Amino acid sequence: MSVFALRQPKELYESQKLAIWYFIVAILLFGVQITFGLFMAYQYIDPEFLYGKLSFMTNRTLHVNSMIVWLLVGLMGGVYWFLPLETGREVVGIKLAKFIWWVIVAGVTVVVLVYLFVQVGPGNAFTLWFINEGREYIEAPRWADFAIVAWVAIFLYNVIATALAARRITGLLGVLIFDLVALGALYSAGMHYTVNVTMDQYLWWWVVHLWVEATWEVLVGVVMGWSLMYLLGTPRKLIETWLFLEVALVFGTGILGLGHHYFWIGTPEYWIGLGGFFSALEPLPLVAMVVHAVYDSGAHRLYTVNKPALFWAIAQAFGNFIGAGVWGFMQTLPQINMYSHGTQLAAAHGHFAFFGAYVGTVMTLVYIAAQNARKHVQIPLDSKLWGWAYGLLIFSIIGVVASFTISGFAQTMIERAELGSTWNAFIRAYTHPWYANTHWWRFWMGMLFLTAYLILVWDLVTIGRKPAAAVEGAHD
Amino acid sequence: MDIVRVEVFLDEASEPLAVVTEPPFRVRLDPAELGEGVHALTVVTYYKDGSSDHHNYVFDVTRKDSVFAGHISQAPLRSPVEVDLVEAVEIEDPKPPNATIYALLPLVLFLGIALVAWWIAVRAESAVTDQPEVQTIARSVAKVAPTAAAPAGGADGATIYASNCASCHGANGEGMGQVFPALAGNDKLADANFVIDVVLNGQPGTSMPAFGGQLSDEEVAAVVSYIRTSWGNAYGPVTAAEVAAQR
Repeated sequence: MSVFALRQPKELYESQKLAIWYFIVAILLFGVQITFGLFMAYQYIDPEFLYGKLSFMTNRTLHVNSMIVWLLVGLMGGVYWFLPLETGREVVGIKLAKFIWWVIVAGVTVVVLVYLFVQVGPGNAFTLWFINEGREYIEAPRWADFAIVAWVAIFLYNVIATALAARRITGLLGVLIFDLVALGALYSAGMHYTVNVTMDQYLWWWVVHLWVEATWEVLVGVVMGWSLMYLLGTPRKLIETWLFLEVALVFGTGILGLGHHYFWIGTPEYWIGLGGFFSALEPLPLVAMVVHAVYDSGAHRLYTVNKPALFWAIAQAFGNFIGAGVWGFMQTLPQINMYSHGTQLAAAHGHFAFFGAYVGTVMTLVYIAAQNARKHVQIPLDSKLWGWAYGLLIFSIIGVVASFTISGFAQTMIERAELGSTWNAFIRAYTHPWYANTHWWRFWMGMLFLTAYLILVWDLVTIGRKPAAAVEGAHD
Repeated sequence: MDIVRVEVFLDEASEPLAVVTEPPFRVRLDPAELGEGVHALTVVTYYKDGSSDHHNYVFDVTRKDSVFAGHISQAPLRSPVEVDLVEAVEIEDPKPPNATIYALLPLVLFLGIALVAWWIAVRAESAVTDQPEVQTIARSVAKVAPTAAAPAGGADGATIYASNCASCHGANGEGMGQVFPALAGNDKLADANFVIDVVLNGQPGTSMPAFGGQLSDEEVAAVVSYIRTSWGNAYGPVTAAEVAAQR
């Protein structure tokens, strides 16, 4: 029985107080993401909605960027939460960490306001530095890029210096350090502007693919591994053995799986074989994670110190496998991707995978923090509302994904396979009932998702407040 | 870490179940004294420097064979067990991690990845300007590219229609679905001012763009006249002066 990862002092560590700020901002940005997503869903139905005020592209930029930022913030918050517990001491360089955090919060606010106020304009050296760098998903201007790299570098320093000062390195910490190295360094690949579009995309995918399908998945492995120790008391030896296996599989398949983005963008043809083969293996580590989570939860008969967190952890395992693994596999083989490339099927995969893999992870961490942030620690943490938020979020995201999948199927079939990507084919697909009608479905499922989000926020504010089952002597 | 005292609380009790002041830090749990079901154990540890921390276990007391007992043991709690409150590794002297592996190597890797990305970007930049074949292609493209000069002999409505309008409204004005209205046999074309306005300014909120910026008065007049007199339409031509009046 391994317990030293879970020792919580009476007072929260400074690092844990910072982590709570990370979680608050993450949840707020989650709301921003949903809001702009709903605007966009309605613009599909009525193109006149906010016409001339908020363009579809600005909407999409904000929807996607807020998602990347809040999920990354949530994962980093999770590390700030467990790092002092794992090392048994306060995080080294915590003042620097607090400083860069508020710089980042201010920076994100400025970037979002600039996106909103400057929606149309020229593209030149000035706009590249101060308004919009122009690359999809990582549109942040270059000054913000430097702030982001500084942020990740300070974060990395916090982790390494704390481990050295505590004279303790664990499997979790070792994996975390090398993963953060890759995470920070790869972001720099998205900061170069080259006029050659193929080369520009070649590097851009280093950030987009190698972040999301390699370094983020490993970071998820680390924080979920720690969460399982906290939630179920899974022995550290078991957690770390699985973690090493998962890291080997994620990096082994994910790095060359990058090739599935290099199919027809002007890169050499060998990427079709490499990308097709290795990306097809990418679901393997996700299967391993499902097996582990289910085995562990079953072995412990779901007896846990924190019910919502454990249920989110289980949802994460399945969501990661189905959303990232199955929905990704559906379109990764070059024979299929030839036709489905860039259709709504990609959006279906994106929504399902990010929700399953990363929203599930951040929710697990947020509920663990919510349990310990109260004066009385309720054990096990439970409430009537969390199940509603949990169930409705999962139900409505499946509704959104189903509508994207159906419209993506119609688009792939009609626009690409049958009519051969002509202008006429594009119009035929866009006016087909399977495409046009699912817009409503998607919008109302999005509204349900917003409702579930509001329930989630209310639950996080109220859960564990009543010390009904609180254990005396814990935080008094 | 010098531990001076460990207190163990069971469920919601305010008085400790046990207080242990010296190793081995253990407590004995007897299921006979506990009700069936889920129980929580809170372990509060006090150190020599005055600090303290706590951790929690959840376990299950049952008469059934098939369940595990949560944090406490791998088997159901049916007979008394000795629970370790402090793990051996916590009492051992910690060993410092290797600074070369965990501090220097990460730094080298970080810079290495960033340098490779930078090198590829620089190479990509020079690939565009240095390679002679790229420049040859660029020159031949420049040679055949159309110039901005207007065609001689005035504007040709059919040509302007084919290059600007036909992709949506169809080569024969048949339109496409509800998004792109048909022009052949469309009564709205009777109002010349309406047609000129739509071509000049577009239709906000629809897919129809404004052409006022890229077409001259003569060209707009030519294409509007072409639309109003082709495919069975007989609404008559318009003049450049009418277009100029609408701008």
